[in-house]
Amino acid sequence: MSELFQLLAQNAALKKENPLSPKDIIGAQKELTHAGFPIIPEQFLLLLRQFNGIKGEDGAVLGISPKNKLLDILVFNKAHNASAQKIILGYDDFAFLVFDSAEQKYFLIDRTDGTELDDFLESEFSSAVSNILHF
Amino acid sequence: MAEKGSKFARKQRRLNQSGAQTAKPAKEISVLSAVSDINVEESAVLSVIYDDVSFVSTFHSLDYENQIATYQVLTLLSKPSNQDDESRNDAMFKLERIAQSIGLEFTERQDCFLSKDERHIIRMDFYGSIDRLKESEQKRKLSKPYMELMSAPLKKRHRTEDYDFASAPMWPLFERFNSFRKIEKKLKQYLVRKRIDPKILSLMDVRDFSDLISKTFQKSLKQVKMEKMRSFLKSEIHLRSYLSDRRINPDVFAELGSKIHKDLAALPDSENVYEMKAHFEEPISVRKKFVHAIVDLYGDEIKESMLAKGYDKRYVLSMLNAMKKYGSTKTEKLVITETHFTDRILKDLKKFKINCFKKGEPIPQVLVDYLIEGGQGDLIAARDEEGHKILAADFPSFEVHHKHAVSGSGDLSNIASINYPDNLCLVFEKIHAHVLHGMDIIVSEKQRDSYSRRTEFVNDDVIIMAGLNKEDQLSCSFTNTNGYKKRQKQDSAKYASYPECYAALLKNQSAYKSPNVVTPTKKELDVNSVADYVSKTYKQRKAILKMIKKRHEL
Repeated sequence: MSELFQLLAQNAALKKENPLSPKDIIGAQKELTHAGFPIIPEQFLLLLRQFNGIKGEDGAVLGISPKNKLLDILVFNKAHNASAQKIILGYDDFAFLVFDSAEQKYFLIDRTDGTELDDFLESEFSSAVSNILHF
Repeated sequence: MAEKGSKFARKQRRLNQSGAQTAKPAKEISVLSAVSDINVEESAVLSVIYDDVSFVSTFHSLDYENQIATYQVLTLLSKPSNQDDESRNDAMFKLERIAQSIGLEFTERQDCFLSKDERHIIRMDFYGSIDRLKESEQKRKLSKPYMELMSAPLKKRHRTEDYDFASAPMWPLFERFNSFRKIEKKLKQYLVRKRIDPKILSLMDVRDFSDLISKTFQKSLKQVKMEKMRSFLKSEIHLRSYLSDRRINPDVFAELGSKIHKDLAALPDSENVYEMKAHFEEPISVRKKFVHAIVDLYGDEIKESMLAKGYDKRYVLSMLNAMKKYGSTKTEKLVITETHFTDRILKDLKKFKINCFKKGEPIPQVLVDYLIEGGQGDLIAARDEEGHKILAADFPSFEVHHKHAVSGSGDLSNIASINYPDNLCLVFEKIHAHVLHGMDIIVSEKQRDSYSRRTEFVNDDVIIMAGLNKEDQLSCSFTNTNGYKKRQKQDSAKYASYPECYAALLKNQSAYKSPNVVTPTKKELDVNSVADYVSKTYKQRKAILKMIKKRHEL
């Protein structure tokens, strides 16, 4: 994870643009569950505590109520997610980065036809994030 | 405006009758509050949603932020998750009409099979980068023959000619793209340097090739640091020459220069730590090349259009400069700079004993480049009336969009054309996310057939979309240029069929035998000294220990 934080810092991602409080996190998890989505995985929350919503080239990593509404995880999932076991964490022009709660894995999924393009174990979380950002 | 009998009119009447401000249409309001930014006016959005007659012209009379919010609300209401049939159908009807007025249409997804591997190659070609695989990923994603042969260097080096890429069943899939054809020589040189068995090529799958590319082009932190230093030195030379031409002593920058050199020298410079991503495109990626080309061709038009919309001139100029210089559209990294020297800038420069500029004078581009490359862009950062830095993140930025989806390119005879400039478009990020990709949705396997819409351009030649009105679009046809025709001819000559390539690979892999594990002979197992023991391989040592143990047992 430290390698990923370094990459993000080098690329001037807005660090702690909107610092997350435990209250924000609990609130977001409740809203996501209420909307029928799985909860946000712990590793992703660790990232959000440092970088709450990151813009990449043609894509982004979503955040919890970030200043930029475009990156709001709840809004984005309501608009683009009809699956009860996946939660979208990021996107680029080709794919969505999702966490599959049933398989406990991260996937890159083609955004037009849902084909699985790549998969990442929980221990490969930083690779999954780096893959969607294209710095 | 609202007609008698329209939903908006009915709603307005009800509101007037009740006199209660709270009596609002719950669904639309809740959808709107979820998507809207601070700048969105609720009444503006609802004026389109509840207008059944002139909603298209009402939509076009709104400003950009309100148009985006309206489009988002209509998209959400048109989705099957909205159980209210009337409101869903109404939203879809309006969305189709509005899309039509912008020059967009909804098309049904076509299943033109494209393998996962080919999509991976297209993605690499477009961004010009590959992520370095972690150890656990290598084990899961790379083939066994590749892993074995990469970790067993030969004693003798082969020549580059011995690495015959034509013998690699999967290379034709890469060879269809110019970016991969260009790096073939470097891949060969890497294999020579690492003394890898040339037969590896016939056994490599697509993931193995991307791993080879990432290994060939990966940069250590030391190399990255050196590049940053070189780039700064170049800008320093340009600045010195500019100052000399104007008879200003370049040494006035000595103190600031020394600070920048110190900062650069303090960057991490490990030779064994590599970047997470390997950038293989030389000199720049397909994406960056496209951004460059568009700014070269239409930089003035983009500038005029954005200034006419009221965006800050300093932002527009800084953004175009970054797009031109780096091919980058990522605004978070962008420092918006002043165009002319201000009191504040002069005061800040004075701290470094730089007194050679005057208030109101234009800031020379060489100085902008010098400060940006040296990480001192803040010295000339644009500020608002209260002295706060103007942030690029507060302005719309551009992204690059594929007009025809990559997933639908399975029937193309020239698959590389999916990343050609005529299939790309420079669009505002919100239009990209909410309009052009507004219909994208993840569904469960069971639902997959019921969601298949995609938003496409009616006019295939649109290359810039800087707003939601027709006049915000620019069109250009690349297909008639000589460069385009030449490239298409070259790429088309490299036809490859995925099933055929894959079948050939499977045949080769099934015939592959792991390098023979040398069973130690009795003579080899004789150990006369500790040095002799240490020189043996791990397996031999294990066998020796086993043999010694047996001897003792006897």
